[in-house]
Formats: sequence, C-alpha cells, structure tokens
Amino acid sequence: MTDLDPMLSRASADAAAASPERIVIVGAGLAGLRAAERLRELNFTGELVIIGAERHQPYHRPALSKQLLLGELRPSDLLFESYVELDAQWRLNTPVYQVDTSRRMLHLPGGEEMRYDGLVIATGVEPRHLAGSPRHDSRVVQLRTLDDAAQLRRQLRHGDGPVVVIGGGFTACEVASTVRQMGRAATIASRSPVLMGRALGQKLGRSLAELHRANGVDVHLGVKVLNWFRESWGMALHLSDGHLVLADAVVLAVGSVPATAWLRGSGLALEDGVLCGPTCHAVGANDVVACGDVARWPNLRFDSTPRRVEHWTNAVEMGRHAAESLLAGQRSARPYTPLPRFWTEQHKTRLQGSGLPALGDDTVRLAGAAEDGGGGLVGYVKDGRLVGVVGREAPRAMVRWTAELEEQLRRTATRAPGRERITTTQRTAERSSANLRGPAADRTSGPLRTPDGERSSGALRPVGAERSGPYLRAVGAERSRPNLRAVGAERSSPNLRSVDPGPASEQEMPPVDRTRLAAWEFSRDGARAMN
Amino acid sequence: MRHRRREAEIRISVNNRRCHRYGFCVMEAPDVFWLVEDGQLRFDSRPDITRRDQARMAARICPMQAIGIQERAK
Repeated sequence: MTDLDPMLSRASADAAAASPERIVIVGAGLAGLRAAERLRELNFTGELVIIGAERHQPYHRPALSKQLLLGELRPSDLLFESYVELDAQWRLNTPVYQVDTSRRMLHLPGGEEMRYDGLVIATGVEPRHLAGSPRHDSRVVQLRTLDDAAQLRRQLRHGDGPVVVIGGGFTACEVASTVRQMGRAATIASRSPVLMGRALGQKLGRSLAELHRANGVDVHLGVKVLNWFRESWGMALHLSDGHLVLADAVVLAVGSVPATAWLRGSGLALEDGVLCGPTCHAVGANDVVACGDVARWPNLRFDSTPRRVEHWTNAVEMGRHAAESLLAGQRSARPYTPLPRFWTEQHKTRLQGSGLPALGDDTVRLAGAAEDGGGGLVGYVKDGRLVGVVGREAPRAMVRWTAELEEQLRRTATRAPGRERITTTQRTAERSSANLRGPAADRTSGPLRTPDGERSSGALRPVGAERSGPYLRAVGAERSRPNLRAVGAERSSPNLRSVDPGPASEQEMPPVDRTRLAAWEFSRDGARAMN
Repeated sequence: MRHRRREAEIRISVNNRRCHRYGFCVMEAPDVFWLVEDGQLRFDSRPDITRRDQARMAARICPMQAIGIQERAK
C-alpha cells in the first residue's frame, strides 16, 4: 500500500478517531470478501460482520462454467484466500430483508435487527428470469451459484444428449464451450444478433460466433424461444427462426439483474443497481458504500456517466476501494477510477480485454500480437481516443497495451474530449517503445539476472528443466514446444496456445495502426491477416 | 550477505495446472512476475518483502486463482 500511503494514514487516523464500532458487509461474494480484507489492512479494529444469502463462503464463480463443470476442480478448490486475518462474523445462508438508513439498521430473518455504523453493499446480481421458461423443470437450470452448478452437473450426468444454452454473454458462451469439451452436442440460442456484443463489440462478437460454429456449436442468433415442449425423453425448443432444437438439459444464461430488492424503501438511489458517487459512496446515505456487480458509479477515468461493471476483477478492486472510501469518509475519499479488465476462455482460445471497449465507435488493428504467436489485438476508439483493447491469444501484448491504454487515458483525461488524437508521431512512437518495453526485457537486471546475464529465451527454462536462478520459476512447461519450426507451422491454428514466435522486436510496437479493421477472424486466415 | 536477517519473508508459488498465463499478475506485480517470449510465466519465488503488497494483489487478481503466497514473520 505504499502508493496510497498519504490517503491511508489519513483514513486510518480517521478510523481511529471516529471509531466506527461495527461495519456490516451485505454480500459474501468476492467484492464483500475483498472489502473486508481491506478494512482490516487499514487497521479497522471494530466489529466486522459479513452477511451472505448463500450457504457458502466466498468462492470463485468464473470456474463454475468451466473447470467445475468439467470436474477439473471441486467446490472446495474454489474457496478464496484472505491475505490478512479477517476476524469477521460470518452470517451465511442469511438474507437481509430491509435496511433503514436513517436508523442504520438491518432487518434479518426472525425479526432480528442489526445495527451498523458503516455498511458495505456487495450483493451482486442474480440471474435474469426468461419469461415463459419452465423453471419448475429440473432440466432447466441457471448458472450463478455453486448450487446451480451442482444441479447442472447432476443433470448432465443423466445422459449424453444435447444441451441448449439460452443467452449470448460470457456465461452462455463458456458453458457452450465446456459442453463441447465434454463431447456433447451444444446449441446457443441468443436473442442478441452477436455473441458477447457488449464486451467485444459488434465485429468481434460476430467472429466469436464463427469460433463456436467451427467447434461444432449450433449457433442461433437473434432468436426467441417460441415454445417449450417438455417430454419424458427430453425437451424440444421451438425457436423464432423456425428451428426445433432438442435438449437433454437447458441452461438459462440470459444475463443478470442487480440484487437490490432488499434495498427498496431504504432511501438509496436504485437505478440499475445502487447508484454511487465517484468514490463508491451510495447516493442517499452517508455511511454506505457499494461495490462489485451491484454498484453503478461514474468512472472519471472515462467520463461522468454512471455504469455497472460486472467484470470479476472489478469486484476485487472496487471491494477494496469501497472499504477505503468508507473509512476515509465521503469528503476525503478518492474517486474510484479503475481500468476495467476481463478475460474469457472458449474452445481453448483466450480472450482478454482492458478498458471499456463498449464505448468505442470505431475499431483499429493494433500491432504487437506477433510476439504472442498468432494472436490478434483490437483497439476501440471513441472520438480519436483509445478507450479499450481486446486481445485474442495475446497476453504479452495485452500487458503492454493495457499500460499504454492507461497512459493514453491519463493524458487525455486532462484535455478536452476529442482534442487528443491517437497519433503515430515520432514522439509518441519513441515514448511508446520506451514505455512498452516488456517486463522480459527489463527484469533481467538486479537480483533476477539470469546466470549468464543474458535475456535470451535460452536462459529461461521451464519448471522441471534446469532452473535459471535460485528462486526463478517458470510456468507453462507443457505448452512449450522444443521444435520451433513445428510450432511455427502450427501457428495459424485457432486453438494454438502459447508458442514461441521468435524474438520480439521493439520496432513491432508502433502505438496504433490506423488500418480499419474489416473483420476480426478467428479462422486460420485471420491469424495471418492480423500479423 | 547471503543469510541476511529479514523482518519477514514471502514465498510465491504458481499452480502450473491452473495457470493459463493471462498475464494479469504481470500487470499487478511487474517486479515479481513476467511473461517471456514463449508464453511462459516466470516469477521470483522469493521476492523481497517490499514487494509483498504487489504480490498479494497479483494473487487476488489472478483469473485462475493459481498463485499461492506463504508469508512468514520473523
């Protein structure tokens, strides 16, 4: 917390002076956990209560649609660690019915009332209901909680027939991919004309459908379910494009809604979640902050429009910031201005993003993915300003471009919108190549120097091979291929993971290639086209 | 000094089977983790204690929850 020291010592001092006796966190998910952790890091010594509607301790939801469904991880593998002693009272399996912000009182089952001095709202979202879907049928499941995932696993064990996924977002796409990985037939039926359009934009969303089709998923876009036929042998769904699709099990993944029913009548502003100011303080109360999926706040790094960000990383970062803001108090709290990040993996293809791609009104092809061996990088531009980056199989380039995006947003934040253009001037190019020199190039000095002082890839060895320094480890041994030629030949495969593209040259990193991106293909040709 | 006394120590481990090398840890803790040319993740398994906060943040933000941190106070 060295970078936050001035603020934090003030926050800690305030905490000690004002001495709030009890902070209650409603929501025992990731955001709630990280808020609790941060409160203790900042030396909040009062009582800490964490109330959760589910019966589980906080767990890693992203694995539900992937590793847990596949059986690679068990529920107990998904529990989070805390890196400080929480000393919290856990009230799991406990819904909060109501909150009275004027009396600072929570209403719990059985008529229990619980007073708070500070309140953290972290109740997240709940799956959206699909009108007309037979939710009383055990073959129709949603996937938000660990218990949902267990039910889906039971359902899938009953047979080996087709699975229909309704929806077109992260969860829907990941479940369809997992179902294919299990060797079963999968169908995606989405009301939206593109998959993951909100996260990826129209062009990439369209290409994503091709990735799914290439991997055997039957993709129906822009459709509704007109009729559900439920028979003892299975189900059939009549789609609005005229198709009849069969299903052993149906997964409803049609988005989510903020879990705010318990806040009705609280005096808080509830408009698509809990409306917050820039500091995470809830509008309508003094000692209430919100964080994670449920919170809607203006990220001043981009603009002053309040938005919800349902990304997993946001639960970590906002949970921590909300805790800081609560202790600092509304007047001295800092605005929460994260650079949002997300990832997904579908059909063994890693996609990851930074910023707010959805804000972009144009896309540009970005250079630098070559170093990751056949990946692709797209920049999202609004008013000539880079607002987001999405990479396919390009983690190293994403590290650099995320830093570059942060730098560009920082520079443009102080100027009138639209004044600062993305340039390819010499000055920018020089700065970029200096700033964007990757960790691999920088980290060989000092204690991490490899034995021979070189930074050639020959000195970097995987676990199990010779270690290059006393404490240096490498991960990914199983993905490295000894024969670079063979790897190079495979590079255009859409499923290719980490490969060695040869030494990356810094000249390959101009800031932005203004070439308009016609289409971002996940196909074999696409990998070549991107490079 | 090789066996210099320290206030506290941290040890980093990465679960090779969980890690999918997204590089989020590199963004959080560039002094501890880095991705190399062939897509592998390298890391300093015994970083200086001054890097504890960034290492913890990397562990928190890891999409695959693959990073383990052992801390020992002295």
